[in-house]
Amino acid sequence: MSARMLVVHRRPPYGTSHAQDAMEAVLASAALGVEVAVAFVDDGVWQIVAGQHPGDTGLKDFVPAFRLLPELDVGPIWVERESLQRRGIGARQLLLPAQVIGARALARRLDLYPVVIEL
Amino acid sequence: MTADAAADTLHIVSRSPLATDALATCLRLSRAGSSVLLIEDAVYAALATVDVGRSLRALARRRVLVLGPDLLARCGSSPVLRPGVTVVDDGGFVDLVCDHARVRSWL
Amino acid sequence: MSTPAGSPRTLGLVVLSGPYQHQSADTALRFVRAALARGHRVSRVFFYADGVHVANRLAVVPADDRDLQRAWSTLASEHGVDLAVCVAAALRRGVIDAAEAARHGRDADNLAPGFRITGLGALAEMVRDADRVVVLGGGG
Repeated sequence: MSARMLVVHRRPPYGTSHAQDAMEAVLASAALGVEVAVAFVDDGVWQIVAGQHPGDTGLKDFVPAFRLLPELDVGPIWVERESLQRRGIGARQLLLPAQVIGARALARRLDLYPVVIEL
Repeated sequence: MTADAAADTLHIVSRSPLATDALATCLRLSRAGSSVLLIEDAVYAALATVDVGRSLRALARRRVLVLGPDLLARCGSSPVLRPGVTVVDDGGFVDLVCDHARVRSWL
Repeated sequence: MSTPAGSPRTLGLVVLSGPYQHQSADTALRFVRAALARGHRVSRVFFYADGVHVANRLAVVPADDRDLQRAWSTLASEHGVDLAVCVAAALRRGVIDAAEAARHGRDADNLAPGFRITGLGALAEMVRDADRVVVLGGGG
């Protein structure tokens, strides 16, 4: 299947199902041969901060599946610098090998993808 | 027009600018010259009286459109819009989607 | 752009939010009707996350409000629009067709006419085949 899309993650991981839904769509699309890139923006950056332990909440621990992204050739994986800075998160705290990128540069990258979706 | 010209991108925002960061993020991650269509609760951003803070400058550098039926539902038939904002109907929404090479929603 | 402005396009939609709670299922309906009226093809509407609740035929709506499920079913029967409901999102939320009900030992099904339950492959396919994909709902 020759298709390219970029999925933007803008929601934090547990309070709603958005992060989990988006991640499932990314993994399924990549497994089906879609060329998928991802960008973490706004509260979406919380999804890939290391050291999450949702066990006591009863919620599904779906975050480890993010580590499958490189294996499934999902990429590039971008994280917006401004979103990290605003939340006091350092690049070293991320559980993925993501490229930290400024908003202006990310805006140009987004326009290289015919389909950009947020789920 | 080159394939990645900013004018070829339509950004759709559907949340109130005072309730979420959807509009601010759309403007931060869109390029000057692109189009921004305000639908659903985002139509409030089209009103001249609404303080959208730092988004104001970026809005002035985009082509701003607002979905007519959603605006009429919320603001009646004679809302005072920011200068340069264009009202489109549902058919106009479809035309915008078709006339731009790329369409993105900021939810 | 490969085709001149004004020529028929193939459009795909994604609906992410539940009916009534959020306007997105109404917006999508208006968009599809307007697109068809302009001679475009709507290849698929993909219902994901809470958007799958639109496909529940057991919804009972007061007479003075719009019946979204029925409106979508009518759109499918009159215009052949493919209403694809994500299986993972739907089953979790109790939106289920006869085949899935039998498979999972449930005593009833509730998928509305004109909708079909399908995998996330339908989203990938739509991304590949449509000229434009419009995502509605979600957030918040």
